[in-house]
Amino acid sequence: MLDAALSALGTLLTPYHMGMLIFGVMVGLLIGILPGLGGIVGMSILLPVVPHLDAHAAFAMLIGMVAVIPTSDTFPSVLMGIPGSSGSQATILDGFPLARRGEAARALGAAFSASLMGGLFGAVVLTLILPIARPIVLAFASPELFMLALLGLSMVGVLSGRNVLKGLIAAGLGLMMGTIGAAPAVTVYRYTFDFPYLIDGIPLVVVGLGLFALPEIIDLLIKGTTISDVPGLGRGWWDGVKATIEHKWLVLRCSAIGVIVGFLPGLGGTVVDWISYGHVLQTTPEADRDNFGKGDIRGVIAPESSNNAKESGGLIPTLLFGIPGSGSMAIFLGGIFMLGIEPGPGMLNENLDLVYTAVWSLAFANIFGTGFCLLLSQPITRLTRVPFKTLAPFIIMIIVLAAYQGTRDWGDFVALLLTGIMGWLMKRFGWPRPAALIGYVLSDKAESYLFISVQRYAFSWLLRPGVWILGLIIALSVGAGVFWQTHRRRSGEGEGKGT
Amino acid sequence: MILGVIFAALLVVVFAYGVYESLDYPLLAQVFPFWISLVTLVMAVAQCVTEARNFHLRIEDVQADFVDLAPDRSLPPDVVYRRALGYLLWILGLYAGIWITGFVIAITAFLFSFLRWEAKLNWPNALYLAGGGFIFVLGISWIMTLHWPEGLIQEWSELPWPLG
Repeated sequence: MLDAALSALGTLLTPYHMGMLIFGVMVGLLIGILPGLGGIVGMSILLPVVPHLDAHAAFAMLIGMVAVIPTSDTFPSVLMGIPGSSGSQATILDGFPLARRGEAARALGAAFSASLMGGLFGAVVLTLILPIARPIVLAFASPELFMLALLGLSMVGVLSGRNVLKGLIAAGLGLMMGTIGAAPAVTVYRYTFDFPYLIDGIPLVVVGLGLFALPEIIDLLIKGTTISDVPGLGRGWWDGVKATIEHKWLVLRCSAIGVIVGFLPGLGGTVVDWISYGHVLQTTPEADRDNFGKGDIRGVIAPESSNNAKESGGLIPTLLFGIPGSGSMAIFLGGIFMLGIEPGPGMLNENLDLVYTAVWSLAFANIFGTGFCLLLSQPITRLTRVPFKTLAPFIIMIIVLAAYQGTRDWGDFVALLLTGIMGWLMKRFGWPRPAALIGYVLSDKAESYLFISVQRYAFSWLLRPGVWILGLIIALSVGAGVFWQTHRRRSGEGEGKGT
Repeated sequence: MILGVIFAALLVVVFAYGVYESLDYPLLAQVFPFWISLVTLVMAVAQCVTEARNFHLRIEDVQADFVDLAPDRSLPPDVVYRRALGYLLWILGLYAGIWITGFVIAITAFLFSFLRWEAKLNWPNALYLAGGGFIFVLGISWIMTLHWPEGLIQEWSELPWPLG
């Protein structure tokens, strides 16, 4: 095994293979920076090149691309409050307030170093877990995946603070938006109002941009200032790196979350940032929690360390089972087929060196990606000092163009505008948008897995040990939330009486 | 705050429709949306009543006590709504432009006019930046093989790339 790992490293270190890796990294960084574009677009761009390369170079290029998207997508999330791609939605909640306080460089430094650590952690875990991954992946059938979707939904409670009712309603709204389109179990089109556009549902890109990007643009325009409220660029990126080192255990825990969520096919990476954001909230003492959502550096570190780690997790089912965990992995799978390689358990015997090329590419891509992003962070941060009215039309241009790539239909424009208005009103009237987004992302998965579970196992799925374990985790997570709530209320009352 | 009540009431309508519409679906398609919208409907009604009771509260008093970006309450509401409507019209204008002239022409015109009249840049700067945006769109679309929506003009006539 060590032989294969070292020979893969030797192959990757040749100028040709390194060059392809760096080319992939560049494409990935560019796609990450552009809001709304994600791994699927990147894979589609690079796929035509694949037949001209040898297998190692193709792996280096494709994995290099996909590995750094969650690194550079932090730029728009932190600097403009716009999700760079679906894996960095939660980064907005604290990254953007930091930028507005003039601490964009610090937020970016923390985010990039957390991304790097998450990515490297993921590569290490991938190496260690490969020999034993098969039984673990197989232990997760539909019932367990359904419970995982529920675990994701339970984060709504954590994110809703004292407004639990509003949080639940918002989540319900998201769940209902997710039911638009074809039903998973039977051929029925639900809530489509006879618009052909709605048959496939509203694309996640459009919902993400609508709920978060458009409202932010409008609000910043209304205020008519610059993004950063204070003059100067604030503390440097090095402070952010130090913050990441200080919170190293948080980085490790969230990286582990990232790998686990990434490697379960079917859940996909779209919720991993929210799950780790919920995790950091839950594990922070109540008294220390008030700053979240207003610019707490831990709220940047948590999602950023998990979203890079998820990419290595996502490679496990793709390589070992030929089951892609996400859209970009599905196209990557296509690339593997084009190279004449059959993904599956045989990869570990016949193509072990390629598997290690994937691992090494992940590690190197994360190092290069972080390096480039840190170099870019100081100049790009200057954008927060540009009057927003000059910046706004360009941002609108990019999100309109990105939203149109959703389905290339006029419906994307309409959906972007309508979800944008909804997001703006929700923000204005104090309804938590993260809850709606989590509900939307998990709706389809929760419903599909529930149906498959019931049809496959009737009600005996409730007796599976995995379901019990996950149920216990959910109960603990919700219970802890309720406990903190009542605790806080009591202590709040106590203070009130004292004065 | 009357608008907060209206927003909550709108949600009640949405979920009520969700329940009503799901009644027509076959059982397997019905279970999930029916129960979700029914449960959420009950909660939305409760929330609507709460909002109506707090009718006298001003929007400044509504604290976003949860994890989301905090709304800015520094401007008076009428200014906020007037400006929001103005920017909504800008975006609708862009959409109308795309519908008629296609994406490339419309976005360039949008960039220029927004920079000139909203951001109050002078003519040369607005032209220069809009031109930069035009080139950026062409470059990025070429590299990433992005698609643009076509407008009526493109339907009626054969324009050369990038206009067509």
